[in-house]
Amino acid sequence: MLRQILRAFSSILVGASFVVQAEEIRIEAFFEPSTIPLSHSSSYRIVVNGTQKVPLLSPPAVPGLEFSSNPQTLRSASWINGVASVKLEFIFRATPKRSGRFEVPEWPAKIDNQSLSVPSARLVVGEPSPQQLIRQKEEKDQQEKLKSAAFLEFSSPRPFLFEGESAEATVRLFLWDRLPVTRIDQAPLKRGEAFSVSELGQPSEQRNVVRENKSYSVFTWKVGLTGAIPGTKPLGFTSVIAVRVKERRDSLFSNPFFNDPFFGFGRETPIEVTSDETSMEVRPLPTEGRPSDFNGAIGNFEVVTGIDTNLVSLGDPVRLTYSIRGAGNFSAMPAPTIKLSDSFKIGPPNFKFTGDELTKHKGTQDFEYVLTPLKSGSLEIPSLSFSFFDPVREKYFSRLTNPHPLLVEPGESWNAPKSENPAPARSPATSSRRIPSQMKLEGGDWTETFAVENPLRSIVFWASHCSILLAFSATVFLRSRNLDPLVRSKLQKERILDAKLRNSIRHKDAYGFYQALRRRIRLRIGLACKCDNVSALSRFEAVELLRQNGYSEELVRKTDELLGACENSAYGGVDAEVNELEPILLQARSILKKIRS
Amino acid sequence: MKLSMLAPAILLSSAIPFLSIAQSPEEDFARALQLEASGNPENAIDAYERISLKHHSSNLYANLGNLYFQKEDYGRAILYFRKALWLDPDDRELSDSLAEANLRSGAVENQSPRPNRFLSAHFQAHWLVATSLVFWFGILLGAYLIPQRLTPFSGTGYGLLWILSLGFLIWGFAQSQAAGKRLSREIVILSPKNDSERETIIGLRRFPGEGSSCNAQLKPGDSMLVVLDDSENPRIHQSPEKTLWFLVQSHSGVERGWIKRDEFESVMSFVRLDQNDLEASKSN
Repeated sequence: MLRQILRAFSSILVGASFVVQAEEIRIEAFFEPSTIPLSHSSSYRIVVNGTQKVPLLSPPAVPGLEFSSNPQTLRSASWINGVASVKLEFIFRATPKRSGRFEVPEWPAKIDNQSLSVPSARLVVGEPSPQQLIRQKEEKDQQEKLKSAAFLEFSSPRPFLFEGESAEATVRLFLWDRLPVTRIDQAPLKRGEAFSVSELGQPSEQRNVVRENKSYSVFTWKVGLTGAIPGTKPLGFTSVIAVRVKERRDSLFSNPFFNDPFFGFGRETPIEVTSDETSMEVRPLPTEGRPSDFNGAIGNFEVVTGIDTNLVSLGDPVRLTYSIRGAGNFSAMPAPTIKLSDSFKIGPPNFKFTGDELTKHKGTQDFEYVLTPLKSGSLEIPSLSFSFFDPVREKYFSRLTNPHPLLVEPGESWNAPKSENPAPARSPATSSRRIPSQMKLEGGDWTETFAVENPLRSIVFWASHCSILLAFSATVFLRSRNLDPLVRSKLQKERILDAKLRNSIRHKDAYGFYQALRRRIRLRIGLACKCDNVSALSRFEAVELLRQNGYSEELVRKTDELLGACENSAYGGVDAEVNELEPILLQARSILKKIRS
Repeated sequence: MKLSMLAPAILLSSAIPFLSIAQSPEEDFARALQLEASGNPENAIDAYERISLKHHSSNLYANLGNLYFQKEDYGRAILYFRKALWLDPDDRELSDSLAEANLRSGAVENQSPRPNRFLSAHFQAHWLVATSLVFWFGILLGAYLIPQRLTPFSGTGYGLLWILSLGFLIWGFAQSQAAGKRLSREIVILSPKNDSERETIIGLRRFPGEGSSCNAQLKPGDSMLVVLDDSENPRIHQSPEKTLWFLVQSHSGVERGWIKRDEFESVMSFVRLDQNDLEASKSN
């Protein structure tokens, strides 16, 4: 059934096409809508009736009106009053740049081998409405705000570059602290084909940079900038940051300055940040005074060469290190060509750069060559020349390295390996070998055991610990045993009284303090003077006891004063200052210490 | 009186035969040196290795390492340089020789990880002595100072400082002891002695048997660890052909398999390993 319908439809189309073949080609052209305000766009439609062949149409240029280059093409077929009709429609997007009346004049078009003309069409562009003006102004303000909230700055240490010269430039991204930036989506990308830049690494971040009373976070990238094409060429950078804005897209407040960054609501939108486009001159290298061995090194360099040994056997390799140190275009610098006599065979160099790997502007580039002497005797690695162009002094310079004498001992003659028989991976036993260390002529210190000994299994270790433990335990035991029970109880009482003294001070109890101090002093005197009945000692008896035991008169006097103070405060009703307790305790301690000794 | 004077003389005379039997390793070493200097490396190696059965010195192993290095038997050269370095760890020349042998054998990647010098097995005794000193000194000082109230800070602070110091020292000792245990288990893969090619690849077999497939391939000079059982003895299997197989693993533990006794040598004299060898040989 479906097949029958399709067959019928195709036969209708084929029939219609035959009918259309005979139809006259007719062209219409008009704008839709024909009246628009500025900032809107209209459709410039060209309708071709009576043909199926798609012509190439390009509307003429109209000042102030811009047409899209690729038109949208619509094809349709219809039956009108029993007659088949085919038409093609070309739709160009027309964007006015100013208000006024525009007329696309009649213009020729070649369709189906016929020269036809497209009729003229008119478009009226009115002034923008007040709402549009407001919106345009807001957009402009927003752009201005954005420009002051996030911008890129590019600075180069050189006002111009020579072709092939590298300079270490910096690109700085300023982000206003109040701008709700969630991340940097894209690191700065260069605009301008006349320059090449090195890979950007991780930026360094600097916070609280104030500029025009605004606080910014600044991200700085170091970049190696190389001039590639001579001439004054534009140069700029573009970056993309992600900013959190409100959900409502149509809102006036959807711009980042009226955002709602709290609680992570809202959506992220990318914002393009661009630097001001500046022009930079790239000058061609001067040809005057260019050395013949100049191979593109631009900068300021020092050159040093070195070899790893001065004495080798014939056939043994020698490492020649060619170090270029300074600042310049290391990334574009080829390996120097070393021309030596036929006495050496030179291998390809190894590269090693020491310095900032990203910009490759300052540092040391080492080229390591492997030289194989082909002759024995006293040879020399001659001075090597290195030429470079100094962009600051704008002159070419050549540096010569020091020659290196090399003594090659005779050995087996060098035979170049045949290409079909590659050299064996390991040298034969007869070839020269470097013995790693000298033969030891003395036996040295001999030992009977050769094992990792666990010191925990050492008898000496455990014996020494046990002896210390025994000594310690014995001391403690004997000391505790030797103490007279009476003395031990007195010492215990002393500790209790000490605690009581501390508590009295803490609770500001002057009465309790003096009472405890009086008992403490008497207890100490009893212990020092071997008096058993200390509680029965009066103040005078205690002092006399000290004197009899040969204590100094000053100590006796101080003790007497202290005991007197205690009795006055504890029993005499003399009010004691609570604040004075602490110094009195200190004084008492010093006296007690002396009584002990 | 006479008897009392005679007793020491009798004792001394009885010791003389034993003193004369005990041969000095220096004489054997001098003989081996003569063999080496006269261009007879094979005999010199035999002589040195005979000495190494009873006596050990850094110079002895250094000479053995040099001789094997010249023979391009880098596996054994690495083994003896390692032994020499254990006895004289500060010898830079030996370190360089070991590095060169490692480089030539191509076994640079499969070497044992080097611990920090102060956490190596050499420093076990140092850590332990320091720990003991701090332990006892802390107790004695505390026992004296705290009752006297002479400490500049409180008893708690003193105790905390003591515990922290002890903790650090115990940690250092544990690290160096672990390094020592690892070194005791370490072996170096060797090529067979009669192998002239020195390009031998030793298979790390899945099962203890010649016909077993291999987990990995080892080069002479590679360093591996012997796997121990719960009682700290090497895991050994004796095949019906009386071949002893040892279970070994790489330092990372990724590669593991069985190798024969004659395919490796232990870096240190691993006492238990030698005892097991002995028992196995007795049972043979």
